[in-house]
Amino acid sequence: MTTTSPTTPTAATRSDSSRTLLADIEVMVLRSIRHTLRTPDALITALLLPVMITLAFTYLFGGALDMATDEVYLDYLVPGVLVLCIGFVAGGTAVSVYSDLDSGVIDRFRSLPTASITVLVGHVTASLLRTVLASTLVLGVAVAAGFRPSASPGEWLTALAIIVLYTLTISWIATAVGLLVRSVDAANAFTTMLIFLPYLSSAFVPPETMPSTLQSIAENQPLTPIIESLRELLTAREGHAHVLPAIAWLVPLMIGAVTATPWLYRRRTKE
Amino acid sequence: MHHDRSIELRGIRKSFGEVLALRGVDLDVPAGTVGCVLGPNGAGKTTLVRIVATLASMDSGTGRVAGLDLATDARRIRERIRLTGQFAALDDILTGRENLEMIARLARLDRHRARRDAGDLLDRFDLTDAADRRVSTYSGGMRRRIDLAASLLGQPEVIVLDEPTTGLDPRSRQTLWSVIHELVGEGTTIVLTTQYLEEADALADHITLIDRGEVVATGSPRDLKARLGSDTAILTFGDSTTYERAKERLVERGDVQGDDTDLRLSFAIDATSATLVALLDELHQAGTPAARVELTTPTLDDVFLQLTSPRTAAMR
Repeated sequence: MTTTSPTTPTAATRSDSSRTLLADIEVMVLRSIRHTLRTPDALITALLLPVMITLAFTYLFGGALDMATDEVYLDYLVPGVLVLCIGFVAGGTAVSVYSDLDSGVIDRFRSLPTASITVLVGHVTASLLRTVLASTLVLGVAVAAGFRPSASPGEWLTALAIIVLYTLTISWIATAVGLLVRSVDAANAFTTMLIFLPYLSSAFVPPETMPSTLQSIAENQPLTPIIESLRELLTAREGHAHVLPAIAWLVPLMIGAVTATPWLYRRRTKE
Repeated sequence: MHHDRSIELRGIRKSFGEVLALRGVDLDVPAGTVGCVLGPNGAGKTTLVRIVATLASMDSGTGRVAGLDLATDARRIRERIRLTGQFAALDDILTGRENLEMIARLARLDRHRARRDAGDLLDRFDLTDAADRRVSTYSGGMRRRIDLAASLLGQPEVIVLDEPTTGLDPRSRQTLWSVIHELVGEGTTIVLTTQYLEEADALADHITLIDRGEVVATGSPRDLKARLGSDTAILTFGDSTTYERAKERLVERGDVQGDDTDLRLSFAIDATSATLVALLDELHQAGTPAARVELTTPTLDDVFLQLTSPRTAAMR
């Protein structure tokens, strides 16, 4: 057969290798989604927890907490619950990554002519899908409880971008943690930490109501600007002062985690 | 391109911290044959085959696999080689079929081929009934089978099997052996590690016996047995008088081992019919016939025990 294609061999090889990379990623994403669907206990927890927390804070503590905030407590609460749930659901990536590296399947991936690191991309993508599901659920329950977001389409898009950025950041950090830890308990501890961290932010109560040490932690940790930015975008609050600080926290954290991951992966699988 | 030697390793050294796992190992496996790496536990077999399969790096030495350099061409080697390890390298949460289809896709088969080949392999390994069950529900033998099936996807030139039959029941072991025979028949090169001499004897064209990270002998099963010398005759006598008289006579022939309680004499002999007829004639004429005559050929066990160190022999 004669070659009529004008592409140089190098270009052909490059487009070929990016096509196979995409095909590998597709296989790995499908695998991770199957994992999610077949571990229903983890999935149900991931979906039930957001609902429980929203309900508990709205109806159990809501009455008391209404007084602590300047706005309707439900409006105050929803962004905090969103961040907590995303942290919990995306944090689970650490366990998935650790389990893969602890099992024989990683040897199979490594012995194939594929970039085995795509297995991590699969986990992060599945994590993103799980969080989208969990976030939708949180918003649904909140709306049912009386939450009425007043965001313009542009604000919705910005909020969505921050939520996705936050999810990806947590998922990649969780991936790095999964590559670092040496036991599944340590991987789980990371998720627990992510559930706890919002309590030390403006998620549930304004930092001004905390003792001074906790207040300075709450005011200077990344979750506070993220949560505040979502409040500004979704509820009646004025201004968007926290949007840039939130992005300024998230982008370097994500770049750091994404950069560290291949190195940690090689270190973990090196013999 | 035709490669005479599918695997050619020279002076492979590898240590894990303080532990020297391999101390300069050479390994040659001609294309289309079964090369067996035989050795006791902890000899370095797994480390060696993981290096061949590009899963582990070497500290020094050189290696070519399927004509490609291990140091620079790992990615292309992975297109030609598969490793089936001691622990099934499978995704427990997926079904057998899903595992095979996933691995096929990663081995660069298109969707249609992946589905077809996965189905064919499930049939071939008698796993069709279990194909849509999760691998976590499989028995040990089934896991080994599906793992080996996974290694055949994409028709690799070289298949490395690390202790493929350890822990398998005799029937599963037979199945695996026949698959290995079929594969070699199709031209695949097989590298096999085992601690079972019987397995090496049944399958290997060529054995590399390693102990404590070093090659202690190489050769075909027959060569290795021949290194231990000739066959042995064992004569058992009906009563002690005959035994004593025969012993006096046979001692003249050279080294004779006598067992005075069992009235048994054993000595090296060239096992041709002429020698045997002469021996038996001589005993008859001297009035010292043996009650029972046996001939034994050295087994690989003898080779193994003689050549591997007493430390590891004692551990066994």
